[in-house]
Amino acid sequence: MTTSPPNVTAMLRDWSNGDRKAQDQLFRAVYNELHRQAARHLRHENPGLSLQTTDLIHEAYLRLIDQQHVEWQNRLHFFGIAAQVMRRVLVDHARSRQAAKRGGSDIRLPLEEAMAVLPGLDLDFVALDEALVKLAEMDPQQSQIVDLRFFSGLSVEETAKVLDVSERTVKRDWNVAKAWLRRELSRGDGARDT
Amino acid sequence: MGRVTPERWQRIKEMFEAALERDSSRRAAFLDEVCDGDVALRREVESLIESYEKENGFLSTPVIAAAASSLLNEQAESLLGQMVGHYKILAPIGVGGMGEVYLAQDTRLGRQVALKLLPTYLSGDSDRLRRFEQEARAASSLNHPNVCMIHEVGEMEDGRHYMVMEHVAGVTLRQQIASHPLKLGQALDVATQIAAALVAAHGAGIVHRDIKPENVMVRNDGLIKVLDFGLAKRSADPIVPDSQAHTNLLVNTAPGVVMGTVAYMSPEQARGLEIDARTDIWSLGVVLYEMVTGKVAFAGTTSSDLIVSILDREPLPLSRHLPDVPAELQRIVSKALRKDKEERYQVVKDLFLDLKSLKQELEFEARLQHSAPPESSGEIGSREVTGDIAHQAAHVGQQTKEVQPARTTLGAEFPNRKPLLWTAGIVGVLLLLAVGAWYLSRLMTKRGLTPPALTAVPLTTDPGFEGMPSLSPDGSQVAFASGGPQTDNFDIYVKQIGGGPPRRLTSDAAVDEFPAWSPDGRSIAFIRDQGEKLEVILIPSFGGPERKIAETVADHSNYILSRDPPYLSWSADNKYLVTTDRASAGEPPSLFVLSVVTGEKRRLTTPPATALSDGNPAVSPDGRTLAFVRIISEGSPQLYVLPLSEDYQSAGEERHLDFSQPSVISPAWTANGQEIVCFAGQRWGEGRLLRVPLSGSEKPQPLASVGLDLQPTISRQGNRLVYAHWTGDSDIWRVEVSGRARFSAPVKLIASTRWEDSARYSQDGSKIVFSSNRSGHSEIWDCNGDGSNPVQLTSLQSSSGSPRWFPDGRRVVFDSDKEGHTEVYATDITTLVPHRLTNDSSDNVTPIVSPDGKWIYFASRRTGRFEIWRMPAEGGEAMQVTRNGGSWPQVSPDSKEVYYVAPNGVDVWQVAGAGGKETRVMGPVVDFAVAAEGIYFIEIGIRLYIRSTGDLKFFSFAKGTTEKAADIKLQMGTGLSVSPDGRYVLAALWDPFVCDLMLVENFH
Repeated sequence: MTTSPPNVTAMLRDWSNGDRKAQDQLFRAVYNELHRQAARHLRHENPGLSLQTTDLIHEAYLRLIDQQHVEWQNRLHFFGIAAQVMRRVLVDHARSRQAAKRGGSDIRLPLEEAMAVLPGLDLDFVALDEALVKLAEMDPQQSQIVDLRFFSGLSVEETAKVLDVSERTVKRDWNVAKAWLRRELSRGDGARDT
Repeated sequence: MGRVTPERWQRIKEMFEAALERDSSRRAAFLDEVCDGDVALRREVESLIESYEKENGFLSTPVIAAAASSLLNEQAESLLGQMVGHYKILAPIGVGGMGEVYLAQDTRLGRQVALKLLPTYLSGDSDRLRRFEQEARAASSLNHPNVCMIHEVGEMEDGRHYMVMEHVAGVTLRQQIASHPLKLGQALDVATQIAAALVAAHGAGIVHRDIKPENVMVRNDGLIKVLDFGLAKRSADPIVPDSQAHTNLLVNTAPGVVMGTVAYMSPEQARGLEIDARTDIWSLGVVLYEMVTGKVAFAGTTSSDLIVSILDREPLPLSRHLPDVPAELQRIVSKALRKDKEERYQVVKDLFLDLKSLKQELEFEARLQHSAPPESSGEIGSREVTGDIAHQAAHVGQQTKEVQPARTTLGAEFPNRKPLLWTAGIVGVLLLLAVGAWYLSRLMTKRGLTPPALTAVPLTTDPGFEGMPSLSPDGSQVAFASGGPQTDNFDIYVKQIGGGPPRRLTSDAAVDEFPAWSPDGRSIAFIRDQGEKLEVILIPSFGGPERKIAETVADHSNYILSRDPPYLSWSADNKYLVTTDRASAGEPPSLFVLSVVTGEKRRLTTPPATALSDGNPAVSPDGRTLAFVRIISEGSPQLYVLPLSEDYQSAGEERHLDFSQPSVISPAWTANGQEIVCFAGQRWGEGRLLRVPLSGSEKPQPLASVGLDLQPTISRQGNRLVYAHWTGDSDIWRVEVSGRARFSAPVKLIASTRWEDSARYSQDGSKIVFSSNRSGHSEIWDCNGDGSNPVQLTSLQSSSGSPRWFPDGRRVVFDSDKEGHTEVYATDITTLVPHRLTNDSSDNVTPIVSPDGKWIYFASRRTGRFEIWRMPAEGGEAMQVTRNGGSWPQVSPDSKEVYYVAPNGVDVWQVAGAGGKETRVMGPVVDFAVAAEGIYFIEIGIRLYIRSTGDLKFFSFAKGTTEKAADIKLQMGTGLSVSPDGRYVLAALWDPFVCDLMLVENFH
């Protein structure tokens, strides 16, 4: 538990210099760090309270990234990767739960317990993930904005800084992306109903 | 539509944004213009706008918390199948504030447990960890049905700590509330059970500090288990223990979403002030509010809002959420939620009592409703509890063969459920049934005003003997005699009701007993037993110098009156004491008036020559009548009253209050002097408290009925009754009788503060069935082979015992006197529907199933005396096995022979299962258990109430000789059995008598 943080700054640099191998390492490092942070938060006595929306990512960021030597693209990469980690975890989890249900398993997974007190979790993450893939094909930036805002919990201002665009752009893209995603997901529901 | 190209998407996006900038009334025209006939484009933009307007918080809350939870879940899955200590992780159960919880298999003891991995921050802080361990240990000593048992605290190789707890199959109260809103009666039941857990914990000095729905488990049978006792952080700790977290308390959650612990924090907790037991009272109040209304008592969109609300705002009245809510419930909730802890309920016992009374009142109203003529049924029928209780009442009255199952879900079947606390309520109800229509009609006239039944709560629960209570005149304190923790030196103690631990008033090496509180409240008189002489001593009630007033002659021959109070009674003017003495050696002891000032003695009663003794004096509150007990013949103490003059001379004839009870002792006057409460029954040890009207115009009413209730005392003001509740506490011990550990110390397997008896392993050794009166009645229980996870199998509310397994380990046969006489029943341990197997109106007792599963042997009195009978295990006619009398059948492991106790009660005989030649095997024994090679037994030498230690011995069939089988230092009880593998003997061993004081509030 007291291992020193891996040199994520260097990994990010290697990665942006074209070292594809660094991507896996980076993903693993961010995953581990987020896990550590999540565990710390959830083991807290006030789980609902201490899970400040952005704390988790920010603490991981502060711990992993060498603040003196980080370039702005690397910040983007970090938050992007963090969002990817979160997204993948949620989607995998949703898939395994679906599988568990199909398999008739009646084991209550912790997430369901957590859901009783956590907001906004009635989402179909698998469908959301599929829609986001489609959105990225049409407009990669909008997809990134959703990642950063929803999966990394960044504010409009932070998202604007990370993407180096105006806040107004973030807001507008965020609005249209949400409208589109919502419609895509509700279509999915309709299709399943009929 | 097909795939959208990035270019087209840009166009859609621009038009979407442009349309949104326009007023909605002008959007159509705008889109007409810009789409220029591109219908698909227009439809796309319009549908996006529609989606946007319906957006409704979609994706507005980042999903971090869930993602974090999922992250941990991945780890949880990676732990599956791994060993932690000797526990194998089976499945994740949940992630909570205090760590991750897993279902695990205890590989040593073969039981399922809940294993909680503790927060790592604990591991880094040895002080905190030690304190945590201490508290876990303290909490693990709490043996209460509503407290989740902690088995062990251990450490993993990586330094993380874990805690092993009783696995509770059920849901958290949070989940319960979320899935099925509780009915009023259920909410009260749950709150009462939580309060009961807190009464036990606070009594042991443990404050929970974090009562909230997440910490309360609702077991599938409705039993409530409170988790994590004493594990929450202490008041002195910062609210957020990990400074690294720099967590500001501001977090936005959706409105109405409960925010962790904060919502249940008491004002003093939220302020970070010192907290005590009263913080739990607050939190329970918040939980109760939420259970009743379905809404949180204190809300806020941020935790600081929430804290402001807790500190400053009063929650909406319950009636805003629930129109029919009883006013009394509002009063209870308000009193629990007083911001100033000094104004709150001061002890959880008071809250417990109020909840219980209210619950009973509602149930009782419903009962009355049920028994009232149908035309008036609309009056209180609107309350949901009514129907439930009426339903229940119908079942109570039924004499059916099939008894309602105990394990049903809380949400579905409140009426048929029998949680432990229900037992206490039903006692009162059954009592009423017993007393009959007269009492019922009397109560109906007072409906709503009269407490429906006696509700007693433990006042002292220390181990050992606390008895001979005497209430202070204002009812705020009680003096009593106690032998101390070791029951080795009896002294006088005083306990503040609702206050802390008792104060010891005397410490002399002699036995100090029979305290009597003076009517002016200043002094306590008591007896110091110096052997032949008894000293009458006075001590200030708050402690101080003692003053010996007089000496009297001890009468140790009189067993009854020298053991139960009152031995001393004050005159109303505080000048005299009435006590027992002997005028001369040849005369029976009689009552004397003793001047407190001068010590002068004056004879008051003169028993006739045929009587054995006068004793148990009780002067009426107005000082004009003396109640006392005269033993008119061996074993028959009777209640008398004698008019007194102002100077405490006899002023008339003694009058025998005869109400056809063979044995009456311990009179205590009610505050109005109209009635006497006394203990009456067949003999000492079998009876109950009766309320006897002085006028003789009405029949005596029974008061309490659970266990042995003795020694009543009533306060002159304050409407309190205190009495001594005797419980012989026997626990089940495991004695290893073969193998290497033979002669090792016996292990206590199953224990409570009540008695356990007749324990038996199932054929595979994984389960033990036993009987216990821990729920108030003698019921059948089972537990795992190591004694963990006790589960109540019957709720027959009578005396059930002698449980034995069927070979399948799924069914249990037992006897119960539910029908008024004892019959043989069987129940399935999963469905819990008992079926009566015998039905012939004689007593049919002590059934046992042969190991081959073919026969049930039992003792029956159908021929006029007890003989051994057997019937096919799957049903059929019973056949007589013995001809010369027999009881307590046991079957040899090969199912061929039956061993039983002969009519002399001490010798073991043997007969073939189908009957035939009856042969004496050995004796005398107190109890025995048959193994393959011989018989384990306890030698004679033990009598009820006067026990001596006995050894466990073994009689070898092959050698015909007897040898010692185990060293047992404790007092032997009964209920011997041998484990199927022959390795262990289970025995019920008795502790010294336990006597606790019980308190009844609002005693009129």
